[in-house]
Amino acid sequence: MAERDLLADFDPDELAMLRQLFRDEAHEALEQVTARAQGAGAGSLEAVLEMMRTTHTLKGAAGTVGLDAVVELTHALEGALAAVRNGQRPWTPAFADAVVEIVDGLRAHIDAHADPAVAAALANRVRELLAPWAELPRGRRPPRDDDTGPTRALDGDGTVVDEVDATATGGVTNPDLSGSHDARTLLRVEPERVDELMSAAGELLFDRNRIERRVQLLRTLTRDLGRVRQELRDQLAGAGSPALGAIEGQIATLSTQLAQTSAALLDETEAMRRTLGDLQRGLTRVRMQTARALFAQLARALRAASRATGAKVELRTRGEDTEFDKTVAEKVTDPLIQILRNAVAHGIEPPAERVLRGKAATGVIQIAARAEGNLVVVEIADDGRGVDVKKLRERLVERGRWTAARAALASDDEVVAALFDPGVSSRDEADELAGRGVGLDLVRETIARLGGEIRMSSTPGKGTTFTLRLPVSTAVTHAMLFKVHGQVYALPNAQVIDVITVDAASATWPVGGERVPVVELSRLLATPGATGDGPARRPAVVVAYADKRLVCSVDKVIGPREIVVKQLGPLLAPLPLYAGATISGSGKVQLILDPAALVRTAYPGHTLTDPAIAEPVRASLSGRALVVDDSRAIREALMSMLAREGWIVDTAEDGVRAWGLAQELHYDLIVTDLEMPRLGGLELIGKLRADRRTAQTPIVIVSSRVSPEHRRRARELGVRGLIAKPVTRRKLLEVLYADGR
Amino acid sequence: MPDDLKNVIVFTLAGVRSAAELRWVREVISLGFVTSVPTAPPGIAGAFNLRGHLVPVLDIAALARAGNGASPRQGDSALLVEIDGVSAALRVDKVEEVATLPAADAGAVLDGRGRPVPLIDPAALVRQAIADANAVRGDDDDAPAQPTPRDPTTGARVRLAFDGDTTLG
Repeated sequence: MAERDLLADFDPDELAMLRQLFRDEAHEALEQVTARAQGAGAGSLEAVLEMMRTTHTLKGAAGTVGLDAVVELTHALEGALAAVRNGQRPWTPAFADAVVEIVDGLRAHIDAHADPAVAAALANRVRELLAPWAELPRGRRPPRDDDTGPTRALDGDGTVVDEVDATATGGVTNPDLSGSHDARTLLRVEPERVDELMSAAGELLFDRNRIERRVQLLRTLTRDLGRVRQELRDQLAGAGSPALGAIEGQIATLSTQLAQTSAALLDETEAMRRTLGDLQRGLTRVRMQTARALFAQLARALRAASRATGAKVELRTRGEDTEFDKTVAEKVTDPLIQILRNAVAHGIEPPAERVLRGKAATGVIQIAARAEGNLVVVEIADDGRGVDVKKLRERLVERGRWTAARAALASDDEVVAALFDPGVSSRDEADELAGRGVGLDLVRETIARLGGEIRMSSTPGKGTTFTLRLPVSTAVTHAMLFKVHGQVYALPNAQVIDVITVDAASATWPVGGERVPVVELSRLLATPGATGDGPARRPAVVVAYADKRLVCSVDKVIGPREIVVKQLGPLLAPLPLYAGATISGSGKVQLILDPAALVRTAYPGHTLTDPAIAEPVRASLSGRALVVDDSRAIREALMSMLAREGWIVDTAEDGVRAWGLAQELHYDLIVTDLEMPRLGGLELIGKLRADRRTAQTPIVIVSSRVSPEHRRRARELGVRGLIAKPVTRRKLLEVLYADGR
Repeated sequence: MPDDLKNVIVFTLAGVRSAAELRWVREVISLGFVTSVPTAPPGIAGAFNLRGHLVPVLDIAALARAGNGASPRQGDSALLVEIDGVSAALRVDKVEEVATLPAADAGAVLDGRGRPVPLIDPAALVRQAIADANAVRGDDDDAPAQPTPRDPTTGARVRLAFDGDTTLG
């Protein structure tokens, strides 16, 4: 087929995409041929037949995408193999080597599509290699090959070579391997390699979190050093020792440098976190492809099916840009083609019949893909005759599939669903396209194995709709597994930053210089008959989610594992604690906890329905505080002081950000600076006071500008206290606990 | 079939014979290892793996507000029902027979000896279980931004992986 003809069939993008698919397929096929030529049992009839089949399939595919040179070469290779099969030539090591070389040459030729001259040269090289075996005249015209079905060609015995027509003319060095639209070289990567990279990126995230904790520790130590220096200076005051004074000065300089370095380090770990997030998202995207390629394949299958039946069908597609994992797309292609064939064979009526029924002569099949959460929904709807439920019901009984009683009781939907059962077809005679009764059961099985599901609905006279719900991705996820009350649970590894040991009695635990609430999972996940107290020290996982951290104490940490996430379904999904489930190697269901739910459990200020869960944690904390200051140093200092008092602290660099946070979250205390960019402290307090939810929130002002005027305005706004900078812990505590809080 | 005949499956539960209409029952199964689901309402007694699918195990007694039934264990018999596309296993003590029995008055059928056998309604039980589960989620609707929205039809968490920012890989 010439390029011009192809472009009538496909638009340029579609063609480019099909050729890319072909290249992927060709690589796999050629690898198979090489393996068969070199592997155990090479030269056996079985091996030769398989190589022929593979080569033949490849030839058909090359023909469809208009790669005439590949058609010619694979055809010749097939001929050479046929000679072996027919006993006209023995299988010799030399021939095996030649096959491997030819295959390598073919691969190089296919890969060189971007450069017509190189591709042509490589094609010629393959011709040379083939010449001794296939009697292929150099530069002959490729054969016509309208037969793309592998079985038919193999039916004829030894006729593959005979198919070669003799209308050889010169010059096959045509440049059609290099359409301008597919000149871009695309990378072909094994999915496992991407998985390895994703796994490595996940490890990096873990490493980064560890680094961040070290940096936090460094900052704490730096502050301690500063305090020691202060004490030293106080001691030295009046001692009149210039030498010691000089040393104190040096310590001061070093201490400042250390503080600056650790602050910079913290910024860098933050930047690293962002980059790692980009990396992981990018890697996820590598595995994704749009539905476009899938739709193009379906369009081809539909054309073939309608040619075979004479049905006139128009395909309409929607949602081409819907993305899903390449593996899912590949696995779902055959089931979808089967459904399309069914639609043509069972659904769409012949044009005359359609006109009689008052429908347009051309039938319409609509395929739509859309994303729904972490699912892709694909709908295939035809406007054909629909399923004849009455007839199907009768057939189910006739064939002894159902008892008459069951058939009488079953609803129409149940009868239609029976089409998914093995051996049930609504059509009388099996034909080439469908009706053998081996279609939909396999479709359902394939979809189920992918973790998806398929539904069918039908309106007699109006048409049939299949709805497939597929996971966006089947790739595994990494999770931390642990035991509570003898049962194994999982948390997504991306949200687990550490595994530590905590005191069972502690309500908070220091993590990275911050006191973090402890959630006792043995309490949260209490089951009937579970025993009470465990050991005093117990393992715990540290969870970070949405800038919040918490420690979950468990009975035993099992460790990181790769898991496949299953959906919970309508009965379990409403339970807030779980994000999904997985099935263990031994077939047990294991629940995946939702880090978001744990965070909500651990942080007060969020209404929780079960007070038994919320109270123990709430009681142990001072509450949740918001620190607003445009100086990072002051934010950090205040955060540290408040955290030591058991506060959970959020920070904001200006009034606008603080206002945003206060809208979203409940705060028990807000500490704010006055002079800040965008929205100053007094304006912020004004807004907070005007809002019903924050009208009563205790507010403390920290400012270097403390004039009587400020004090007056602060009082008017109902501010709890005003602290003059520099802030010390003592000043802060005095204000906080002054009136018997 | 006359209106007053029903295709039913007869089973015992806590010493009482009951029946369920066959049209709801996909198959009679033996439970695999049952994982308990803490925080679930009493009607949802656990979940197990049926051929790669997660299937909740329901407690008929708890759903009928007749106290809590026995904890389901591996090997127990159960009726696999499917209601509006939702599959669930109803634990029973023993399946006795599948029969076509005449309907008695008010939600019962008459067995071979003319004794009334109460009918349970699997559809109502499953819907009750869904309602109970939703009641656990409760009224935190005005809690600040449910961090991970769920797909309303499948209940799948929308986002789970990497910093809660990408789809599950």
